Amino acid sequence: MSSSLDAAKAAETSIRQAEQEEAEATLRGDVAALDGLWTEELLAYSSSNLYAGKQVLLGLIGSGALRLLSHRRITLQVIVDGDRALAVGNEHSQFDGPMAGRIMLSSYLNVWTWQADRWRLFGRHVGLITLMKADPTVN
Amino acid sequence: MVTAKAKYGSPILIVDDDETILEALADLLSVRGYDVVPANNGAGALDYLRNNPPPRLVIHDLVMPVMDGWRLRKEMKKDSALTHLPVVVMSALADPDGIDADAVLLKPIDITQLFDTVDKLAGNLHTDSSLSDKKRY
Repeated sequence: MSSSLDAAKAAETSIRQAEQEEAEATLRGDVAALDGLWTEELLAYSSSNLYAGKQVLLGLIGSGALRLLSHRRITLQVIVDGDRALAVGNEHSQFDGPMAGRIMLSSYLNVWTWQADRWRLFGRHVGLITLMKADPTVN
Repeated sequence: MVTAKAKYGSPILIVDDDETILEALADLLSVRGYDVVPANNGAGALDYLRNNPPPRLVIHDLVMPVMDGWRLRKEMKKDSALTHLPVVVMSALADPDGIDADAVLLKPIDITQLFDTVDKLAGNLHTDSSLSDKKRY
Protein backbone atom coordinates (compact mmCIF):
# COMPACT_ATOMS: atom_id res chain seq x y z
CA MET A 1 0.00 0.00 0.00
CA SER A 2 2.61 2.43 1.11
CA SER A 3 4.98 1.47 -1.72
CA SER A 4 2.28 2.04 -4.34
CA LEU A 5 1.58 5.42 -2.82
CA ASP A 6 5.28 6.18 -2.93
CA ALA A 7 5.42 5.13 -6.58
CA ALA A 8 2.48 7.36 -7.43
CA LYS A 9 4.11 10.26 -5.60
CA ALA A 10 7.38 9.66 -7.44
CA ALA A 11 5.55 9.56 -10.79
CA GLU A 12 3.80 12.83 -9.99
CA THR A 13 7.11 14.43 -9.12
CA SER A 14 8.56 13.20 -12.44
CA ILE A 15 5.61 14.61 -14.34
CA ARG A 16 5.93 17.97 -12.64
CA GLN A 17 9.63 18.03 -13.57
CA ALA A 18 8.83 17.08 -17.17
CA GLU A 19 6.21 19.82 -17.25
CA GLN A 20 8.78 22.45 -16.30
CA GLU A 21 11.42 20.96 -18.57
CA GLU A 22 9.03 21.14 -21.51
CA ALA A 23 8.01 24.72 -20.70
CA GLU A 24 11.65 25.80 -20.47
CA ALA A 25 12.54 24.07 -23.75
CA THR A 26 9.59 25.83 -25.39
CA LEU A 27 10.81 29.18 -24.09
CA ARG A 28 14.34 28.51 -25.40
CA GLY A 29 12.95 27.33 -28.73
CA ASP A 30 15.02 24.20 -28.14
CA VAL A 31 13.81 21.94 -30.94
CA ALA A 32 16.16 19.08 -29.99
CA ALA A 33 14.93 19.01 -26.40
CA LEU A 34 11.29 19.21 -27.49
CA ASP A 35 11.84 16.44 -30.00
CA GLY A 36 12.83 14.20 -27.10
CA LEU A 37 10.08 15.35 -24.79
CA TRP A 38 7.29 14.89 -27.35
CA THR A 39 6.04 11.60 -28.76
CA GLU A 40 6.01 11.31 -32.53
CA GLU A 41 2.21 11.20 -32.33
CA LEU A 42 1.84 14.42 -30.33
CA LEU A 43 -1.35 16.28 -31.13
CA ALA A 44 -1.80 19.82 -29.82
CA TYR A 45 -5.23 21.40 -29.94
CA SER A 46 -6.21 24.95 -29.08
CA SER A 47 -9.55 26.52 -28.28
CA SER A 48 -8.94 28.70 -31.35
CA ASN A 49 -10.19 25.64 -33.26
CA LEU A 50 -6.76 24.80 -34.60
CA TYR A 51 -4.65 21.70 -34.13
CA ALA A 52 -1.26 20.51 -35.22
CA GLY A 53 1.12 17.59 -34.94
CA LYS A 54 4.70 17.40 -33.80
CA GLN A 55 6.49 18.20 -37.05
CA VAL A 56 4.40 21.31 -37.79
CA LEU A 57 5.00 22.62 -34.29
CA LEU A 58 8.72 21.90 -34.40
CA GLY A 59 8.82 23.63 -37.79
CA LEU A 60 7.13 26.75 -36.44
CA ILE A 61 9.46 26.84 -33.43
CA GLY A 62 12.61 25.96 -35.37
CA SER A 63 11.98 28.60 -38.03
CA GLY A 64 11.49 31.27 -35.37
CA ALA A 65 7.88 31.84 -36.43
CA LEU A 66 6.77 30.82 -32.94
CA ARG A 67 9.09 32.46 -30.45
CA LEU A 68 8.56 33.38 -26.82
CA LEU A 69 10.05 36.16 -24.75
CA SER A 70 8.73 34.72 -21.51
CA HIS A 71 6.76 31.62 -20.65
CA ARG A 72 5.57 30.71 -17.16
CA ARG A 73 3.76 27.46 -16.52
CA ILE A 74 2.04 26.63 -13.26
CA THR A 75 1.06 22.99 -12.95
CA LEU A 76 -1.97 22.80 -10.69
CA GLN A 77 -2.81 19.12 -10.65
CA VAL A 78 -1.33 15.86 -11.85
CA ILE A 79 -3.12 12.54 -12.10
CA VAL A 80 -1.13 9.38 -12.85
CA ASP A 81 -2.63 6.10 -14.00
CA GLY A 82 0.01 3.54 -14.89
CA ASP A 83 1.93 4.76 -17.92
CA ARG A 84 -0.41 7.66 -18.65
CA ALA A 85 -0.76 10.93 -16.78
CA LEU A 86 -2.77 14.12 -17.02
CA ALA A 87 -1.55 17.52 -15.93
CA VAL A 88 -3.62 20.68 -15.79
CA GLY A 89 -2.53 24.21 -15.11
CA ASN A 90 -2.16 27.65 -16.57
CA GLU A 91 0.40 29.52 -18.61
CA HIS A 92 1.44 33.12 -19.12
CA SER A 93 3.31 33.62 -22.37
CA GLN A 94 4.75 36.68 -24.02
CA PHE A 95 5.57 36.30 -27.70
CA ASP A 96 8.61 37.48 -29.56
CA GLY A 97 9.44 37.40 -33.27
CA PRO A 98 6.60 37.84 -35.77
CA MET A 99 4.03 37.91 -32.96
CA ALA A 100 6.05 40.17 -30.68
CA GLY A 101 3.98 42.22 -28.29
CA ARG A 102 1.30 39.65 -27.69
CA ILE A 103 0.65 38.22 -24.27
CA MET A 104 -1.41 35.08 -23.87
CA LEU A 105 -3.00 33.76 -20.73
CA SER A 106 -4.21 30.22 -21.14
CA SER A 107 -5.21 27.07 -19.33
CA TYR A 108 -3.96 23.72 -20.50
CA LEU A 109 -4.37 19.98 -20.23
CA ASN A 110 -1.27 17.95 -21.01
CA VAL A 111 -1.38 14.20 -21.61
CA TRP A 112 1.87 12.42 -20.78
CA THR A 113 2.82 8.87 -21.61
CA TRP A 114 5.70 6.74 -20.37
CA GLN A 115 7.64 5.79 -23.47
CA ALA A 116 11.24 4.63 -23.94
CA ASP A 117 12.17 5.19 -20.30
CA ARG A 118 10.83 8.68 -19.88
CA TRP A 119 7.63 10.70 -19.71
CA ARG A 120 6.77 12.23 -23.08
CA LEU A 121 4.04 14.61 -24.08
CA PHE A 122 1.39 12.83 -26.11
CA GLY A 123 -1.49 15.32 -26.23
CA ARG A 124 -2.10 18.92 -25.33
CA HIS A 125 -5.13 21.15 -25.15
CA VAL A 126 -4.69 24.89 -24.76
CA GLY A 127 -7.69 26.93 -23.70
CA LEU A 128 -7.23 30.57 -24.50
CA ILE A 129 -8.24 32.82 -21.61
CA THR A 130 -6.95 36.16 -22.86
CA LEU A 131 -4.85 37.38 -25.74
CA MET A 132 -3.68 40.95 -25.37
CA LYS A 133 -1.04 43.31 -26.60
CA ALA A 134 1.84 44.09 -24.27
CA ASP A 135 2.08 47.67 -23.07
CA PRO A 136 5.52 48.80 -24.24
CA THR A 137 5.70 51.27 -21.36
CA VAL A 138 5.44 48.53 -18.73
CA ASN A 139 8.30 46.16 -17.98
CA MET B 1 -15.54 53.41 -45.64
CA VAL B 2 -12.49 51.39 -46.41
CA THR B 3 -9.10 53.03 -46.28
CA ALA B 4 -6.53 50.33 -45.53
CA LYS B 5 -4.48 48.72 -48.22
CA ALA B 6 -2.37 45.63 -48.14
CA LYS B 7 1.17 46.36 -47.10
CA TYR B 8 2.81 43.66 -49.22
CA GLY B 9 0.82 43.08 -52.41
CA SER B 10 -2.61 41.59 -52.32
CA PRO B 11 -3.62 40.19 -48.95
CA ILE B 12 -5.73 37.28 -47.80
CA LEU B 13 -9.12 38.34 -46.47
CA ILE B 14 -10.16 36.30 -43.42
CA VAL B 15 -13.75 36.53 -42.24
CA ASP B 16 -14.91 35.14 -38.88
CA ASP B 17 -16.96 36.56 -36.04
CA ASP B 18 -14.94 34.64 -33.44
CA GLU B 19 -12.12 36.95 -32.42
CA THR B 20 -9.84 34.18 -31.15
CA ILE B 21 -10.07 32.24 -34.41
CA LEU B 22 -9.59 35.39 -36.45
CA GLU B 23 -6.49 36.38 -34.47
CA ALA B 24 -5.03 32.88 -34.52
CA LEU B 25 -5.52 32.48 -38.28
CA ALA B 26 -4.16 35.95 -38.95
CA ASP B 27 -1.06 35.21 -36.86
CA LEU B 28 -0.44 31.86 -38.50
CA LEU B 29 -0.83 33.16 -42.04
CA SER B 30 1.26 36.22 -41.24
CA VAL B 31 4.16 34.11 -40.00
CA ARG B 32 3.70 32.00 -43.12
CA GLY B 33 4.45 35.15 -45.12
CA TYR B 34 1.03 36.40 -46.12
CA ASP B 35 -0.45 39.80 -45.55
CA VAL B 36 -3.83 39.43 -43.89
CA VAL B 37 -6.94 41.60 -43.66
CA PRO B 38 -9.47 40.51 -41.03
CA ALA B 39 -13.23 41.05 -41.14
CA ASN B 40 -15.82 40.15 -38.51
CA ASN B 41 -18.71 39.23 -40.80
CA GLY B 42 -19.88 39.04 -44.40
CA ALA B 43 -20.95 42.67 -44.57
CA GLY B 44 -17.53 43.89 -43.48
CA ALA B 45 -15.90 41.56 -45.96
CA LEU B 46 -18.12 42.77 -48.79
CA ASP B 47 -17.34 46.37 -47.89
CA TYR B 48 -13.63 45.60 -48.12
CA LEU B 49 -14.00 43.67 -51.38
CA ARG B 50 -15.97 46.44 -53.07
CA ASN B 51 -13.60 49.22 -52.07
CA ASN B 52 -10.15 47.71 -52.41
CA PRO B 53 -8.02 45.84 -54.94
CA PRO B 54 -8.96 42.16 -54.94
CA PRO B 55 -7.35 39.96 -52.30
CA ARG B 56 -5.45 36.87 -53.40
CA LEU B 57 -7.82 34.66 -51.39
CA VAL B 58 -10.93 34.89 -49.24
CA ILE B 59 -11.26 32.57 -46.24
CA HIS B 60 -14.62 32.79 -44.51
CA ASP B 61 -16.76 31.19 -41.86
CA LEU B 62 -20.39 30.30 -42.53
CA VAL B 63 -22.29 31.07 -39.35
CA MET B 64 -21.80 34.77 -38.62
CA PRO B 65 -24.00 37.65 -37.49
CA VAL B 66 -25.04 40.58 -39.73
CA MET B 67 -24.23 38.70 -42.94
CA ASP B 68 -23.47 34.98 -42.92
CA GLY B 69 -21.09 33.11 -45.21
CA TRP B 70 -23.80 31.77 -47.53
CA ARG B 71 -25.03 35.29 -48.22
CA LEU B 72 -21.50 36.61 -48.65
CA ARG B 73 -20.82 33.93 -51.24
CA LYS B 74 -24.05 34.79 -53.08
CA GLU B 75 -23.17 38.48 -53.15
CA MET B 76 -19.68 37.69 -54.42
CA LYS B 77 -21.04 35.52 -57.21
CA LYS B 78 -23.42 38.30 -58.32
CA ASP B 79 -20.53 40.74 -58.68
CA SER B 80 -18.41 40.20 -61.80
CA ALA B 81 -15.41 41.76 -60.08
CA LEU B 82 -15.58 39.28 -57.21
CA THR B 83 -16.94 36.06 -58.63
CA HIS B 84 -13.55 34.77 -59.80
CA LEU B 85 -11.81 35.16 -56.43
CA PRO B 86 -10.64 31.91 -54.85
CA VAL B 87 -12.62 31.09 -51.71
CA VAL B 88 -11.98 28.78 -48.79
CA VAL B 89 -14.88 28.07 -46.45
CA MET B 90 -14.31 27.18 -42.80
CA SER B 91 -17.08 25.38 -41.04
CA ALA B 92 -17.91 23.09 -38.16
CA LEU B 93 -20.82 21.76 -40.20
CA ALA B 94 -20.13 18.24 -41.41
CA ASP B 95 -21.61 19.04 -44.81
CA PRO B 96 -21.66 22.75 -45.61
CA ASP B 97 -24.51 22.52 -48.11
CA GLY B 98 -24.96 25.01 -50.89
CA ILE B 99 -21.51 26.47 -50.74
CA ASP B 100 -19.54 26.76 -53.92
CA ALA B 101 -15.96 27.09 -52.74
CA ASP B 102 -12.51 26.10 -53.94
CA ALA B 103 -11.87 24.31 -50.66
CA VAL B 104 -13.59 23.58 -47.37
CA LEU B 105 -11.72 23.41 -44.08
CA LEU B 106 -13.64 21.65 -41.36
CA LYS B 107 -13.27 23.05 -37.85
CA PRO B 108 -11.19 22.31 -35.89
CA ILE B 109 -8.68 23.13 -38.57
CA ASP B 110 -5.53 21.10 -39.12
CA ILE B 111 -2.73 23.67 -39.47
CA THR B 112 -0.96 21.49 -42.04
CA GLN B 113 -4.12 21.39 -44.14
CA LEU B 114 -4.58 25.15 -43.71
CA PHE B 115 -1.06 25.88 -44.98
CA ASP B 116 -1.36 23.40 -47.85
CA THR B 117 -4.71 24.79 -48.95
CA VAL B 118 -3.67 28.42 -48.72
CA ASP B 119 -0.32 27.85 -50.42
CA LYS B 120 -2.08 26.04 -53.24
CA LEU B 121 -4.76 28.68 -53.78
CA ALA B 122 -2.87 31.83 -52.88
CA GLY B 123 0.75 30.95 -53.56
CA ASN B 124 3.28 31.58 -50.82
CA LEU B 125 4.89 34.59 -52.47
CA HIS B 126 5.65 36.77 -49.48
CA THR B 127 8.80 36.57 -47.45
CA ASP B 128 7.93 39.30 -45.04
CA SER B 129 4.79 40.38 -43.30
CA SER B 130 3.56 42.46 -40.42
CA LEU B 131 0.91 42.04 -37.80
CA SER B 132 0.61 45.78 -37.49
CA ASP B 133 -1.47 48.18 -39.53
CA LYS B 134 -4.39 45.79 -39.64
CA LYS B 135 -7.83 47.23 -39.94
CA ARG B 136 -10.90 45.28 -38.97
CA TYR B 137 -13.85 45.33 -41.40
